[in-house]
Amino acid sequence: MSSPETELRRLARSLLEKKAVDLVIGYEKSEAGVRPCFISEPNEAERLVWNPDCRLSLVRYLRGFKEKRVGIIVKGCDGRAIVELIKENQLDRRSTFIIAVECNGVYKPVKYGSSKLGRQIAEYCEKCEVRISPIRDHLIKSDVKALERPSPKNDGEPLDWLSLFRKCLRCMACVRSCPFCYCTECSIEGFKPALVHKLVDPVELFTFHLTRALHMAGRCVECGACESSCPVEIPLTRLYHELNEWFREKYGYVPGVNLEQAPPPLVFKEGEKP
Amino acid sequence: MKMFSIREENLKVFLRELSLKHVLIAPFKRDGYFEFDVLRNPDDFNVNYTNTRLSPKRFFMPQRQLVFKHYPRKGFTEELKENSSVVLFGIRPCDASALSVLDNVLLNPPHKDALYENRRKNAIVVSLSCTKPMTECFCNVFETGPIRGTGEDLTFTHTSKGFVVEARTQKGIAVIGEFGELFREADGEMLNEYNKLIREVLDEMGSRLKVDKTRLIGIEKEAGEEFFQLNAQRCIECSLCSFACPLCYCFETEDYWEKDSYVRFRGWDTCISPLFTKMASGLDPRVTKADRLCHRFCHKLSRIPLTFNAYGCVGCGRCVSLCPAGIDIREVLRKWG
Repeated sequence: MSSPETELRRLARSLLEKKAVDLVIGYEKSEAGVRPCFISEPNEAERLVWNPDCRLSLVRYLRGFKEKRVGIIVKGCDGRAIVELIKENQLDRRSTFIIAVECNGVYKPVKYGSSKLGRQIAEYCEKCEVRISPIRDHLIKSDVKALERPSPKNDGEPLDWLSLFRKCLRCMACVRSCPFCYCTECSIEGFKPALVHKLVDPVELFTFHLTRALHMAGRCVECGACESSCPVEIPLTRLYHELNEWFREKYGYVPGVNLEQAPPPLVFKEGEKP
Repeated sequence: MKMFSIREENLKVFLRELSLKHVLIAPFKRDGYFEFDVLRNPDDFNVNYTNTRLSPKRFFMPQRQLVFKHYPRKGFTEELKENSSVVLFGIRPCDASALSVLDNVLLNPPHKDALYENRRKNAIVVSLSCTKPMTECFCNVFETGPIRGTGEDLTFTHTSKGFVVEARTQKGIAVIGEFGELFREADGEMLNEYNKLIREVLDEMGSRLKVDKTRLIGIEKEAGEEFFQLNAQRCIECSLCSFACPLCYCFETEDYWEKDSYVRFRGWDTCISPLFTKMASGLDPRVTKADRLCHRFCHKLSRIPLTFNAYGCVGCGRCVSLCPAGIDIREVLRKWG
């Protein structure tokens, strides 16, 4: 059996040769690790890689290619994001060729000035139950065994969110890397009306994160794009996971697993109480 | 300048003494990474750190600072408070060099930045040489490290027999004089080790990236090239690269009414943001992401050198490591350097 990487390259090449898609969004090797790449020539397909460093969700790039037919490499969580985006009318299923790769979890990034240098599976991957995208045109099975998941930690210990948010630089990396933050103007950045001050105010950081958390409730697929791009390592997915759990209990809704089930905020039921 | 030495066990004593007289800021571990903060307990300081996640520029240019208040009846009050003297200990040579570039940009008459000067003039910068540079670093390109940079008052270098201390400015000599009993003149054996260390580290770094920095000025003419368009596809337009950079100094101001006065704040801005060049009329001279990305690199590598005779990058590698999309300034250096 060929490795997922060779299969991926072969598939991308044939898709581009047959002109089934205009470009393929995938990951390529870079000096500092792995980064997104955009391939439009069949012979460039050799650049594609697949390994546990492919952590940034590529789904956020789809909104930049709305008029093109795009092939995209997705992990389980990214596929769920696509499902949710289709439901929100943000994506044309017919112009997207979804290449699902079986995901065994990704590594936490080792960033500048880290005190530990060892590789470690990301926390949000430990909770993940969907390793293959629920929506797909082609499935590539993985031959590597699942990354070792450490024994489940006690998740109950509450985090001091106020002091975590105080570290925030409001660099917008969480917003910009998120598949669901597709607003043309972020409410946090707009100045007509200005909901928060343009310059970072410690109190307003709380407003910013709570606004974002409320918008992510019942939509977040816990792909960890925000958390892994955050320079000050705020465990955002843990916050969104809590909200998702609440959503699951209240409405029996899990984002991104079922294309038919409408998101509860879009459905009106008579006699329903908030 | 003169070389001194201090024994390893005396470093903690030195830090304790320093913290009694000045506000001591040093890197220590916090939530899984190193960050500068006020060091209350010198035992928290450990020499074995790589570098801090975020740059120390925020001690001189905070992310948000008050410029003035205006009371409708009383008039303006300037908010220039005399700051107590700050000692930045354990800054890496690249970050210290960034401060000297900032001095060049912000303290050059006739346009002196009073807010920056107010914080900077009393600060003592003590650097700790990098003997094990990180993989992302490329300070050799701009000659801002790894052992000595520009802009430090004192340079500490860790050797097997303690620290070699070089006083670089009069301020630095004054500090050594203040704590004279802890320092002694460096002996020949120590200096030999020090010189050997410099050669080793420079050789190791030089083998990674060889760039002729003088040729980088030509990058300006290549604007709008394919390279930037390719990288612009990748760029997610967050402000991380500028916020983490030790010498991105662009700022914006914000005025509003607060309780009983008009206030003006000033804080970081970033040229990567689509709102940066957007004018009130709706006109935007840098519309595309590629334009903005090109501008960022051109400004650092061509325009700052032409105007201020210093490079706008010190090779600390923060943007390389932190960029979620993997945009790498080293590629620019290789391509045009």
